[in-house]
Parts: sequence; structure tokens; C-alpha cells
Amino acid sequence: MSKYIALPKGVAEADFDKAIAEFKKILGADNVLHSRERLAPYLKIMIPAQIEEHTPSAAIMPESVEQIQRILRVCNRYKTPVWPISTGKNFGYGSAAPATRGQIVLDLKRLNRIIEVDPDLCYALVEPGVTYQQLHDYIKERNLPLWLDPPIPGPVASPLGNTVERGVGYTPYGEHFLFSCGMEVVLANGDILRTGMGSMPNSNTWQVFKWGYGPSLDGIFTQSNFGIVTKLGIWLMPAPPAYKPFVVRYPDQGDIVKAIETVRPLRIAQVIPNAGTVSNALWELAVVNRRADLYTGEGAIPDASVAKLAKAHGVGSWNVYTALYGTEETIAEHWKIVTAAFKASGGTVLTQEDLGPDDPLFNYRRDVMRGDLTMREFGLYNWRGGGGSMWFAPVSQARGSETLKQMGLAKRILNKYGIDYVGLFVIGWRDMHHIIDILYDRTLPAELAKARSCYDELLDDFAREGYGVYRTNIDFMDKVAKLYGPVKASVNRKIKKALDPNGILAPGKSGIHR
Amino acid sequence: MDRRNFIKSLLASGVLGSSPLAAQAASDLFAPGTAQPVLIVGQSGLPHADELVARLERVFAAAGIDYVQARASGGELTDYTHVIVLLDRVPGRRVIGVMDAAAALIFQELAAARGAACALSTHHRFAAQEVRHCCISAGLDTSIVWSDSLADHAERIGRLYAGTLAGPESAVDRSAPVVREEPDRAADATPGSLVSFLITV
Repeated sequence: MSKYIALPKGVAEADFDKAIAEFKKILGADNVLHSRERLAPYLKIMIPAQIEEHTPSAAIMPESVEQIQRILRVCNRYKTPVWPISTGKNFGYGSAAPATRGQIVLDLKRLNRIIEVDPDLCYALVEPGVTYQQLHDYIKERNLPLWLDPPIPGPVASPLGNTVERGVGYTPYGEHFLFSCGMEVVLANGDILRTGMGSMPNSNTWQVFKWGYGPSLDGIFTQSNFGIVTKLGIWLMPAPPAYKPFVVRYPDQGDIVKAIETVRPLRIAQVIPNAGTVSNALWELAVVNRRADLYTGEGAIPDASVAKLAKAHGVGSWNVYTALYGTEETIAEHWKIVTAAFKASGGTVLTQEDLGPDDPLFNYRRDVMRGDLTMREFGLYNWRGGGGSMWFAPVSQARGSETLKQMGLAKRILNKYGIDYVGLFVIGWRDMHHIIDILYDRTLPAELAKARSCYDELLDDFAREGYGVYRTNIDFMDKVAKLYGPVKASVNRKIKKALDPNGILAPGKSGIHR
Repeated sequence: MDRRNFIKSLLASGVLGSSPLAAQAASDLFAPGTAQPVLIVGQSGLPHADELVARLERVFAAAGIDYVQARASGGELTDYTHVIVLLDRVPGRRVIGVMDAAAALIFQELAAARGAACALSTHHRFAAQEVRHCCISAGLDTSIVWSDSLADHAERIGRLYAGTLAGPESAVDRSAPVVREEPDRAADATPGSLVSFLITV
């Protein structure tokens, strides 16, 4: 019987022993983990997958780029693949577990230096282990007039990790990759690439000009396994003199059309500049309630019951949370425009003054839309209990008819499996990220199987209509890659072979194999 | 006896006696016999959590396990600053949490980010007459699932945590039958759930 809980595919235990011994020489024994107990944090997942399929063989924790280079030499020698993580808080997408069994988790949490924050040019240069909380505290301690744009798991999540996964936040800087500038990447052969202006010796423009000269490469290191990103420049928003968050509530499910048709022109024109959200009634209810306290019937909660619950709890069938940013004067002018537009569409516009100081739903949106850190939205995990969550995240045009169509499609499939439609749209410039949280009890095998089948069917049916997801979990990466077509897959494979001929970097990440 | 059967025997046993097998419950991460008392963090406002915390206290007192208790609301347990203050108070300590799923996730993730390790985590789902428990240990590849009557479900849980904490000097009476695993029991439309866990901070 092996002394390891898993082994990399095709690697003999004797060779793995040698690799582990070499990792210990490089990192010290305390930073090379391979017992089941020590690997427990990397085994915990919320998605409906069997952990056996994603069990790592070991976890190793370097603290420098030079150590990563030495690790990769060992990996190339013994053909042992590594699965890099920043902080590994990719909850509804697979947490820290690798796409395939036996990979070594390359945990970068000890690379946690904030290398630079420039208050004039409003950027930061950070390593993978830096969390939003760490950067937030750094900025507050120095009283810098800068805002972050954290996702919901901000206190434990990494700006670098979230950006290379192409995650989103809720301020005007909500599209994280768009607001990044300059990467340092360790390639599989140990070379260090600095993208954009970073390749130019002595350049001081690495974090201010994205493109450099020739092909722009940053994008190929996001959602990919072509290199290990060890530094990232992120642009920070200058704190505006004034800020006015608000919510617009719509009474009927079909009002999603009015809501989106109203918000789109305001967003494209940057009157509303931020990545606000349009959440359905069940999302609102699920953040602050347990399902069993509201509904005890079988299957998904029917529309009529949802409508009654929404009314009883004072939330809309759809709820647009967004904000204005600027000076008092510009906000006053924009306020006239947005209130007129939303009222004309049948929405009820509410501010903090209308809702009072203690509205938990409004307050957490108010906080995240100004870059504060709050995990209040994790209340969603109490809706059913049991620790199961999986994000289905198709992209939609910012068009009312399209969001209505996606909602209908999603509900039909979710309801078939008895799963509630807990959904929201994140307002992009011209797109909507349609985020559906598939909440289920992971301790019940029947629910786990149902959630998995449901996700599979959602992918298929949405793809038939031409809708793709912007991100997926470790269990469905191959399938989603296939849905994006053979040519893209072929190009990815060619790049992979060129940059990582031994396939040691995160095999299976985003469906990319050697 | 492997770790799985050991945990099952803890769940079945009536008293803490002497057995070297108790060492198996304490994972490699989890050195027993530390001088620091165990901290029990219970979420206020949840009757099932109150009941379980009270039972843990009784079992720990009977087993001679030193403990202290802290209460916090759901809002506090999902607030970064509050949890960090709590964790700062307990370096080197063993912490048992009894809270809802969201609070448990946040608490454990914030603790893990500071290097904490989880030895045991149990999900409890409450139905009208019974409670379904699903326990995962750091040393197990799959979970152990069983059901108890609502009236006395906390008893086994108390013993499980006490037995795990007590370490090699303490022990387990294994004369009672091993708990029967029932992975498919309990319907999904149930009135509530709770999570308990044991971590080292």
C-alpha cells in the first residue's frame, strides 16, 4: 500500500519519493505536506464532485520565485505535475483541489509581499499570497485615498488569484483583469517572463502601460496552465469625494426586461459606472433566511410562493443594486437622470435614508460597491445547509430579452431537479454575468448527484442556445473547453506543448492538457 | 482498528475509559494534553447550538477536559474583525465551533488562513424526530454518517469530541456496538442544520 494518499498519474512511487525528498531540501520538511491529515484543507470542496477524483498527492509551499524555479526543475525531472493556488478560496468553483487526482498543490500563500502601492498612479504590485484584507489594511494604515474591488470572499481571497481567474467585484473597477497591468510569470522551464513593459530593463512603466511591444501576452496566463503568475499589477480606484448607493426594486419576474433595458444605457454611458447586481427574490431571501423557515414543500419553491415571500419580506422580484460615484455636484445631476429612468420603468428607487441603517441586504451591497470587505453574502450557505455550492455562470448580452430568456431556461432545468433558482446578474459594460448559486446538501448523496446532473444539463442546454460560461469548476473544465470548439482547444494545446512540453503545470486546468 | 472504526467506537461508547486506541482519534495535527483549555465557540440564537454546547460542557466536565466558552451571534461569526479578535485570543489552542453553515465556513476559512488545521467537522441536519450527522475527520477519506433521535442526539457528539480531545491517556469503552452508518437516511426537506468542528489554531 502506498504511503501517499494519491500519486500523480504515470509516476512510480519510487520516483515520487525522490521528488518529495528534493522538495524537502528546497523548502524544508515543514513546507512539504503529504499525510492525509496535513492535506485535509486541500481536500475540502463544495462542488458535487467525488473528492477521490481531485485528491492531491502533496502540497508544497515555496516562499520565493527562486524556490519555484527549483521546484519546477524537480517536476520536469520526475514528471510530477503541480497545481498552483494563491489562497485557494475558489469556493463554488472547486476551492483548492486540483482538476485531476495526484497533482501536487503548489500553495503560494507564503509569497505574500505587497511590493509596492503607488498612491499617485493608483496601483499596487502584489504577490499571489496577498489577500484583499492584507492590502486593505495596508492602505488603511497609511491612510491612502484608494479603494479596492474585492469579491465576496475578499478577506481570505487573493487579488492576484481572483484576477487570473477573471473574477469580478462590484465597484467601477469590477472587471478585475481589465484593471490589471503587468504580470511576472514563471514558465515551466524556469524562465521568468514579465509581460507588457516589464520585459524592458529598468522600465518604470510596468504597472501603468499594459501593452509593451508586440503581442500582448497577459491574457494567455489567465484561466490557464501556461505559467505560474508570481506578481501582478492591479489598478486601484481613487476614493471619490462622494458615493451614493441605491436599490431599485421591481415587483414582477418579467420586470427583469425593464430593469436591464433601463440600466444598460446608463452603464454604457458611465452614468452608472460600477459592476452592480440585479438579484432575484430568492437570492435576497437566501442571504438572510433558512429555506426551511420559509418553505417546507417538496421540490423547488414555486413562483407563486416566491412572489408571496418576496412581498412579505419587502424585497422585489428583481433588485438592482448600484451606485453613483463622484463629487456631490456630479452625483446630484446623475441622481436626477437615474431616478427618472428607473421610475419611468416601474421600479421603486430606495436609498439608505429610505431603508434605515439596519437593512442587512442593502448594507452589504453598500459596502462591497465601495470596496469594503464583507462576507455577509455567505449567508447563502445557510439556505439549505450541508455545505454544497456550485456556481453556474453563463454570460449574457446586457439586453432585457436575453436575460429573460436565460432566466427561463435556467429555471426550467433547476426546477426539474428540485433546485431553487437563486440567481443574479452582475452588470458589465455590455454584458451580464448571470450567476446562479446551485445550493444543495453535500452530505446527502442523492442531492449531490442531482446537483451534478443539473449543472451538466444547464451547460448543455445553454450551449445549444449559444451561451457559454465565463468560468467553471474543476469537475467540468474539460466539458466547458469542448463547448468552446475544436480550434480554440487545438491552439491551447499547441501553446501548452510549446511552453510546457512535460505537462507539469496544472494539467486539466480550463480543459487544457498536453 | 483503523481510524474510521475508532471514531465509530467513540460514537458507540458510553464512557471514557482507558484505551491506547484513543490516540487514533487525535490526528497527527492534533497533539492532546495541551495545557491550554479548549475553547468552545457557540453561536447564540440557535437552540440546537445551545443544546449541543451544553452537552459538550457536561461531557467535558465529566471527562476532566478543561474548557472555556465564548458566545457570538451569527453576524459576529461572519464578521472578519470579530473572528480575528477571537482567533487572536487563542493561539495554540483547540477550538470547537458550533454554528450555522455560513458562520462555520467563514470561521474555518479565516482560521485556516492563519494556519489552523481541522481535525473533525460534523454536519447535523435536524428533522422532526431525528438528527442526521455526517462527520469527516482529517484522517478519513470518506465521511461517517449516522442518525440519532432528536431527544439524545447530542450525547454521541459530546463523546466524539471528548474522545478526540482526550488523547492517549484517556479512553473509550468499546463494549457497545459500533454506530451503524446510514448514509441515505433523512429527507432533505428538514427544518434546519448546524455544523460543529474541532480545529487547532
